[in-house]
Amino acid sequence: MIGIATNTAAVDVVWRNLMGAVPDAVIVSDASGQIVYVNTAVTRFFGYQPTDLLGQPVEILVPRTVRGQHKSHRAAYHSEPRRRFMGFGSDLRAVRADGSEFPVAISLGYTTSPSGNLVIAIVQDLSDLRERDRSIENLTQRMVRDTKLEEVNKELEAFSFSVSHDLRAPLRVVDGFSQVLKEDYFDKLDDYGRDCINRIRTAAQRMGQLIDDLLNLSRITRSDMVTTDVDLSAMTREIVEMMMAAYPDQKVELAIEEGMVAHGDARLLRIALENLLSNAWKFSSGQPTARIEIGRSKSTRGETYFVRDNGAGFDMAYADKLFGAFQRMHNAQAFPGTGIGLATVQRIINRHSGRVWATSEINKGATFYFTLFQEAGNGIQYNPTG
Amino acid sequence: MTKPSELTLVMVDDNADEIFLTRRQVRQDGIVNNFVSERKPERLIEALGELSKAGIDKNKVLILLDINMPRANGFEALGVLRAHPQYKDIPVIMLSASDDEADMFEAFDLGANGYVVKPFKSDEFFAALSNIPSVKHQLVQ
Ligand SMILES: Nc1ncnc2c1ncn2[C@@H]1O[C@H](COP(=O)(O)OP(=O)(O)OP(=O)(O)O)[C@@H](O)[C@H]1O
Ligand SMILES: [Mg+2]
Repeated sequence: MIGIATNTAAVDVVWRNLMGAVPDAVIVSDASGQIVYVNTAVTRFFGYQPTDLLGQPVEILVPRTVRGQHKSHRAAYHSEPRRRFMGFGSDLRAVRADGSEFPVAISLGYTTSPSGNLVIAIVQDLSDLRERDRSIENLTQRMVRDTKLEEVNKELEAFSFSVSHDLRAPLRVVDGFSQVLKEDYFDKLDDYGRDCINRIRTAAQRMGQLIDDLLNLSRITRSDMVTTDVDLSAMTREIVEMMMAAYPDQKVELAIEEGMVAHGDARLLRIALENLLSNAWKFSSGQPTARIEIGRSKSTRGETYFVRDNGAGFDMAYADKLFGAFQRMHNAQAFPGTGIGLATVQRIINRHSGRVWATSEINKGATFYFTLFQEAGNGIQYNPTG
Repeated sequence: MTKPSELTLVMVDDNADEIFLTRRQVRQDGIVNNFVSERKPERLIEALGELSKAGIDKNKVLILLDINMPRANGFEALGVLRAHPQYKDIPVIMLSASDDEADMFEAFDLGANGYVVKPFKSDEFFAALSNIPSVKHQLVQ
């Protein structure tokens, strides 16, 4: 395809062929600012047919707000023509036939012809470039943010580890001396005094449990990862056997998908599966027959593993709370626990650059999903750790 | 465990509460009756010397050594003891606030004979003692 020129004296055939192949928009105007030539790229850039533009003032391609300015620049340019490049740094914009604007860079050239002086403008569309700039900037920002987040997390982790650790000693004093009181002075106390001591002891022991949970959680994050191929199906069967022994009275129908092999840290993945399965068992213990399914689904983004039960379920309004330490949706009478299980699972999955989430409906069971080492869908792969 | 053993337990810990509670516990549960405490780990050898002077047989001494003490680390005290010509064979159980495997391995590398995490239950302590041949036969079941 070849551009259209009205002034054959000014534009020869070779030049027109050449212009047709140029990827940028080329616009030639005369001393009065009228367009005398455009190449075919102009249609793609501006949405005008070449014939729509010929004879029009070049300002038709300039945003309305700067048209006046453009006219005076043009006059100045004609009085002192030289080659100029305008663009990348500055915020030049052009306007399409439909009124939309886009960022451009413009090179200006000047030539004489039998029919007078001509200005040649070569226009580059910077939309893609700007878009790319933005996504690079976004990505950079995200990486900076995640790196900072990771640092903060590490610090927090170290902090919570040492605090939990240091809390043990004073707690031991509370626990130990309240026991001394109980052993040596119980018969000297009235019921109220005894009740107080019992409460102190119960609370101290609960606090001890919480501290141990926190320390274990922090150990999950601090331990070194050793990744191998892990047979999740076999691992699930082993854990299931343990669960059966722990809940001998619970009737469970099981479905375990075969051949689920994943890459990861076997020790950590076992802890994650143990927590998910023990939840499945626990929260379906009210069913006459519990149904627990462990499987995977494949998608373009990799494999998603799931653990499904038909138990008590939970309210999806709290779905994002579930994974916080000590967050529980059920009361301790019906379903005992401290609420550290899913926080542990999340850390383990995070360490595998995966994602974990859940869907549920009250009394209709719950499904917990997770992925491991998930690859980003596009070319840019970016896996924050932490 | 009705009759306590003839062993003398030397507990090295900078925390007086910890010493009080441990002394009470091991006596109450009849593991040992003779209990000596030392709050400065760098004084361990001196304390053992005092025991010798008081006529206590060093073959009937057992040390319970806290790992995490602020000034001198318990590991250092263990190192000093194991290099001492006279007392190097006294059994030592390390007492730790953490069940960190690295600490545990280091303790055994440095020549500890046992490792317990505080607060410990008496049967855990008893089990640690039973694992030391020279101590086992002195325990009263
Ligand atoms: N399979 C499930 N069905 C319904 N609710 C669940 C299920 N798994 C977890 N939950 C909800 O999420 C909460 C947090 O789970 P998490 O495993 O962290 O704690 P827990 O099981 O209560 O205690 P822990 O695991 O520390 O013994 C649970 O208390 C429960 O409310
Ligand atoms: Mg749980």
